[in-house]
Formats: sequence, structure tokens, C-alpha cells
Amino acid sequence: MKPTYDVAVIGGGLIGCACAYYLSKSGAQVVVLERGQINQGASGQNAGSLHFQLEQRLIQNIEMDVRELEFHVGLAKLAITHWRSIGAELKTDVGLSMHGGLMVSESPVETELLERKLQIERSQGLMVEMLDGREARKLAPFLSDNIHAALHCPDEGHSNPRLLTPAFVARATELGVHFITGARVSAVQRANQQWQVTFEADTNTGNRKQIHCENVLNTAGAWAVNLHIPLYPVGLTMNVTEKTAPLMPFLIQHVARKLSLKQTEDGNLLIGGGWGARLQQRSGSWSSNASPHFKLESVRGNLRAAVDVVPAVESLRLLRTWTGTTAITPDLLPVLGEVPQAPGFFVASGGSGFTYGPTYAALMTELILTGTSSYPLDPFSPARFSSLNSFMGQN
Amino acid sequence: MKTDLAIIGAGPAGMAAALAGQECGLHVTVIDEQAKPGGQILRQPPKQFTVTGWLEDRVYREAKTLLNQASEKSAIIWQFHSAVSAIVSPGVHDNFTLIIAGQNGIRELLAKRVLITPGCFDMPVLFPGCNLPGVMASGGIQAFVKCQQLVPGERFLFVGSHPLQLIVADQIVKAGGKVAGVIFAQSRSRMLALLKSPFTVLRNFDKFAQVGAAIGRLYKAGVPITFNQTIVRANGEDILQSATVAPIANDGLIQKTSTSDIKCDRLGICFGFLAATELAWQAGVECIWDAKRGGWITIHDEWMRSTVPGISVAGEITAIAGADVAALEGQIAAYGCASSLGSVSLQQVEKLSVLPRLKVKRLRRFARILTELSWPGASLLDQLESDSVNLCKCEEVTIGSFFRMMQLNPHITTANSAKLLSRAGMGLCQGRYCQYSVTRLMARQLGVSENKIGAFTSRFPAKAIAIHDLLKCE
Repeated sequence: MKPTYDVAVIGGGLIGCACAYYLSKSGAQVVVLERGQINQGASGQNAGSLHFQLEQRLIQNIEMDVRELEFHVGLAKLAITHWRSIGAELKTDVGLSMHGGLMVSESPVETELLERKLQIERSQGLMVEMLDGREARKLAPFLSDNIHAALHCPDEGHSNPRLLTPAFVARATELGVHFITGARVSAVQRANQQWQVTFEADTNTGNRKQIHCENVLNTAGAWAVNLHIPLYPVGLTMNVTEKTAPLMPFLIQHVARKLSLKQTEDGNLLIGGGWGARLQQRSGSWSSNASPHFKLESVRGNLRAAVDVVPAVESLRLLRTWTGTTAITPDLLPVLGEVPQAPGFFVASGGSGFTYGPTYAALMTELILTGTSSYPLDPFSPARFSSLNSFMGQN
Repeated sequence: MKTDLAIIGAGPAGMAAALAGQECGLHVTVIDEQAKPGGQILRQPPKQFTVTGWLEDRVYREAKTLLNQASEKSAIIWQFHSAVSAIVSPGVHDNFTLIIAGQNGIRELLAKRVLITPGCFDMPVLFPGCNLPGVMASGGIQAFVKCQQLVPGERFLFVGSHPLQLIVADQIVKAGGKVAGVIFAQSRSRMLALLKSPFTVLRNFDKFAQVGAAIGRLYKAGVPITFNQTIVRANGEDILQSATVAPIANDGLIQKTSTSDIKCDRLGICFGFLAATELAWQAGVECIWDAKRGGWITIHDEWMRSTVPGISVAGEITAIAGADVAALEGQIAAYGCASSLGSVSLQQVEKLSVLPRLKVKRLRRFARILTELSWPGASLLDQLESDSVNLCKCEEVTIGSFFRMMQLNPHITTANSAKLLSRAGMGLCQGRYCQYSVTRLMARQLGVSENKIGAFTSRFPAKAIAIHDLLKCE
């Protein structure tokens, strides 16, 4: 029997929907299985920052990770080009703003870290410029007097997570991709040289359906199933203020504190940066679909960092704190590629998924259709976790 | 700070619960946004005001007795000018943490049990011009008159389907204001159906007497009360100048060709009430949809315990039924908490609850009839809709743009994902204004039940907080 689809994508988030779009654009027959609603998980819950500079969380052990970081910067350059063309490609306004970003430091020690980071970024050709405190305030008068220096990356900015994934879905639908929502995948099995994906079409009735496909692409993020892919759900906190007059055109980050700060087109300030939230427990295990409980200390820590960097934040009202779940790997890098123990089974998840999601999707499409990608994804391959699956008896 | 029972809301349910809880030996803390207890029904005048004959009507008698009793109990801890921003469920500790925004910043309160009694607010109804300054909720108008005898306008017109508008109109006239008319969408005979059962009338004599007296006084003051009519449009440049009304035919269709304009600078909207369930949702309490009795209302057991262990609910959020039911439910809820904490035996509270339960049952019957008769009907709400009207006032999302979003994104089938894509419900009011309409419209368009559409995820803070205050500890 001939399989119905070339690729079954599990997960209706940004990477899944973007992959579906690029795959079908290349002529593949694609189905997307989403257990809830499209864009409901991390893809729609993140704050939409486009950070092409190396982020604070990635440079904790900067000297140990230079090679990976260089590889990351190469990817950032690809992503910048990709984002510049995305509005035209999707024929939709996705709230894209690339007016630049500033990563600030508050002390000479922190500035040293900025300088080290600058070396790595420049070595790979990323456009970044070091500003001292005075220069930074001249460019961004809203910055506090405490700011010691700032690394300016003119390509950074933000896009709207509410709109990006739905835009990919709209274009993919036009190309004939099938989107099935409310479809909970319960089994993925290899049979007769193809993959058989079983899902419950309606969780209320337990109505089971099966599809057959050449390849499976699991993009389900924190919700990855089957094999041992070390992806762990983590709860994150984001804050949004009331609307205010145009204050800052830039994405603001901090080199040593958890902070991302920017203003949306509507005028609200979005404040995040990786502050934790408490995952809910359901029957003894972490629940990845229940909204994590917010932590007051996270909200306060995040807002304190924002006020220290941009004092004007203090006079605004906090409209809402929202929490979301995302997936991380032990090395904080994404997992992208084919699982060596399961040919035809691909994984794409984790790691700055919003900024790099469209680029990951384009590269994964190349990998699935041709077996290789124009930018090597090897450092991100699930093969690095092969030891975990060598005991699994997969064929 | 620590307490056995934290009661959110100092209205009839909260006051009765505080009294009952305290009598059972619990340490009780009541938190309310206002300066004094009483809730909406007994909006108290501010300290600087002297209001003679404040809420003298018989209908307020029971609530006022409760207010006096509760105010005199020194063992009850009152926290006024305080808004609960979030209820955090127990993690490693056994207690709930209430995050409270006060006048001097944020503070936390640890509580073994939480009782949520936030009451209700006026149901927003969408029609062309409904966002014009001058168009107000009748409950909002009433708050001005009740506590300060302040008449917030020159010439009032009331439109709706709930008998409360007669009371508010009467209070405006009494306070010296001018009322151009009170307009009911229903037929006169439908409203009179309330009087059909002599038992109902006898048992709720005070309420009927209050409405009867109000009608008498309005008649005397020359205020026309009309039936089978509805607002179709509010008119004015920057502020309300007149209201266009139209008759409703027997088949329920608005006769948009035979409209008339009524001059007014204040339009009171009175189509019923919505349960204020945002804190309950945030705490994880399960709710069900009941279009006529408050929209999303909480689920509870015989002790008013919600689906979250340790959190109880009472009053309007369990289904709109008025102050008397609220007080009784508050009392029962407090008994339930007291027995679960072991301060009194189950037997004792069973005994204490016999009479309140009986009364609730009787009063609920009347409340059900009242909400049934005063529900404007889905057809009327549908007919008033117009593409250019804001569905979400805060984010200025029109009904038309919301429908377009649904058309372009057929995969969007829950209120939450619609909120994400359309921004409806993302503004300053946290969706209090638009949630009811969003749920109803989506269910109708998709042909599914409102329970499938679900509610917006309710987030911290329940109401916006100044960041300056948030960074400060009280």
C-alpha cells in the first residue's frame, strides 16, 4: 500500500506549521496533527523577540562553548536574511520590526563579557557594535544612567507570535496541507517500510484514526513522544504593561540578567527574559498542557530588572503576567534532525524556537527531502543523544 | 499574615460567611476593594458624606441587619481598599497564598481555606453606539445614587429586560433626576407572569412591594414605562445625545423601519448580570456556561466547595440570584470550611445548615423564574449586533473583524485561541467586557456549545497593578 502522505508533522506550532508550508511548497503531501489548537503552545505564548546576538543564557560558560556559539552565530545570519523576506513570502503582516537591539551591561565586569561575546559574533560576520554608556543613552535616551555599555545589533527586533504561525497555516492550507486539530497521537510505528501514526481524532469519543506516511516529523516541543529525546518542559513567565506612547524602537536585553524588553506596535511593553514559572503536576508527573502557575518572585525579579534598565517602566501598570511552557534540552541547544535508530523519523524542537523557527523549518525541509541541508545541522542532531536510545530496541 | 478562612468580597455572601465562620471558631479575614463592607447592594456612603435615609426600603432590611452584625464583630479581620490579584494554590506548603494589591503596594496572605464571593457586574450588550460616553451600565448609575445621592446626568433613559431598571429609575427620580422612560424588551404579560404564583408573591413580598412602589412613583412622576421595545442605536457626536428605539413584533423581530428617537444624555443598560468568575478561573475552579444566569458560573457541591479542594464559592458566581441567596450560601460555605478544618463537627454544621438550605431552595426557585423572564433572548442580542461595533472595547476589536478572523482561521475553535489571534480580551479589563459576547458569538458561528468554546485563561493580576506598587512590599 502506498502511504497517504510524504510527511506527517506532529505538532501545530511554529516549526511544525512552517515545515508543513516549506515541505508542501517543494511538492510534498503533508498532514499536520495537533492535539489542541494551532499555535496554542510555546509558539503563541512567547514574547516574539528576534535575538540574533548570543543570548545571556547561552554565554554562561562562554569559553567552554566557543565552537557551538560560532555555529549559532552562523545560524543567526541565515535567520536575519530569512526574516527580511518573510512578510513578502507569507503575504501577511506578521508585525515584523527589525529596528535593532541593545544588549546592555551595568558594570565593567559585565562589559568584559559583552566584549568577549562581540569577538565571537564578529568572527562569524554578525553585524554588532559596542557602545559606551553615553553613546548608548544617545541612541536610546530611555536607558538608565546605570548602563555601562551596550552591544548594538541593528538587525534585531521582534515579530508577532500571535500572527506568524497562523500565516504559515493559511499559506500551507492553500498549498493543500491537511491540518487536523484535536488529534492526540497515541502511537507511531514502523510497518511495511512506512510509518503508521495512530491518533485519537476526538478525545471525548476515543475515535481512533490511522495514517500512513514516508516520514514523521515530531515538532511537538515539550510534548515529544516515543523515543528518548531529552526534552524537558519548563515554565516561563512573561509580563505585559498597559499601552503607552512610543518609547523604544529597540529590543533590549541584558548580558548578565534575565531580561528582554520591547514595545509592541499597539504600545504595550513586553517584558520577559527567561524567568521561571511553576509547572503543574497531574497524577504525579509534570503537566505540559496545563498553564504553569506564576511565581510572584519571578514577576518581581523580571520587573525589577526592567526598571533598572529602563526607569520609565516603573510608572506603568502591569496589565497581565502570562506563563507558558517551552521545551529545553540539557545543553540548551535545539534538537534538529533524523533519529539514527529510526530512519524517517525526524525531530525538530527546542532552542530559541521563535527567532529561528522559520529557518529551522526551511533547513529541516531540505534535510527531509534531500537528506542534507544547506547549513549543516549536525551539531543539533538528535544523534548526540544516541546513547540514550541504544537500549531501546528500535529498528 | 495567616488566616484560617480568607473571604474575597464583603458583600452579603462574604459578610454572612465571616459571621458564620467566626462563630464556628475560625480566624476569618475578609478582603474587599471598597472602603466599607456591604458589597454592591449596600454601597456605603464615603466617610465625608452624610446621606439621610440611606437605603430605607424594606428590601434592604435583611442585608442591613447582616451589615450591622458583621461590622460589630471585632474578631473578624477586615482588609479594605484591597484587591485580590491572584490566588496561588498550595505548592510545597499547605496554604493558599493570596496576592493582595492594597493602597501601599502588594502583600501576601496565607489561608487554609478560601471563599470566593466576588458578586456580579452588568451584562454588556453590543449595539451601534454602545461605546459612546453617556451609555452606562444601570448598576453603575445606581452606585452613584445609592451611596452618594449623586445624579450622574441630566436626562436618563433606561433600556433593557431586567426589572432592576425600575428600581434605578425610581432612585434617580427620588434623588431629583429626570427620567425620559423605562423600556422593556419583553411584553407586559411576560413580566406579569412573575405574579402568577401567589406563593412566589407572598414569599418575596418585599421585592414585589419595592418594584410595585417604584412603578407607582414613576407613574406619578410621569415616567413612561413601555414594553415590546428595544434600543437599536445610541446617537451623538462625541457624547450621547439621543437613543433610537424600535418596537419588537410578536415574532421577536425588531421593526427597524418604525424607529423613534428619544432625547437623553444618559442611557442605562439593564439586561441582566454576569458572574465575576475571573479569580475563580485563575485558581483553577471549573465553571459551566449558563447564558441566563450569569454566563460562566462556578460548579460547587452541597457545601459550596468548588472543584479545587480548599476553595469554596458563594453568591452570584454560583448563578445570579440576589443578595438573600448569596448570604445563605456564604453561611453554608463557611460551615463547610469550619467542619473540614475540624473546628466544629460535621453533625453540628449539618444541623446549622438545615434552615439555610431550605431557604436557598425556595429563593432559588424565584431567582430562576426571574432570570428566565428577564433574559433578553439570544435572538434580540443577535439582532442588535453590527459589524462596526466594538466587541472588545479595550483593544478596539470590532465584531466584523472578529468574524473575518474566524473565517480566515477555521482552525480557531476556542475562546483562548481566538483571543490570541484577535486580541479581544487582552486589554485592561481582562475580558470582563467581551468574554460573554465572544463565547456566545463563537458558539453560534461554529454551531457548538459554549462549554466547548471555553473561557479565556484568567491571568495575574485580576486587575491591572502599578508596577511601582508591585515592586514595593507593604
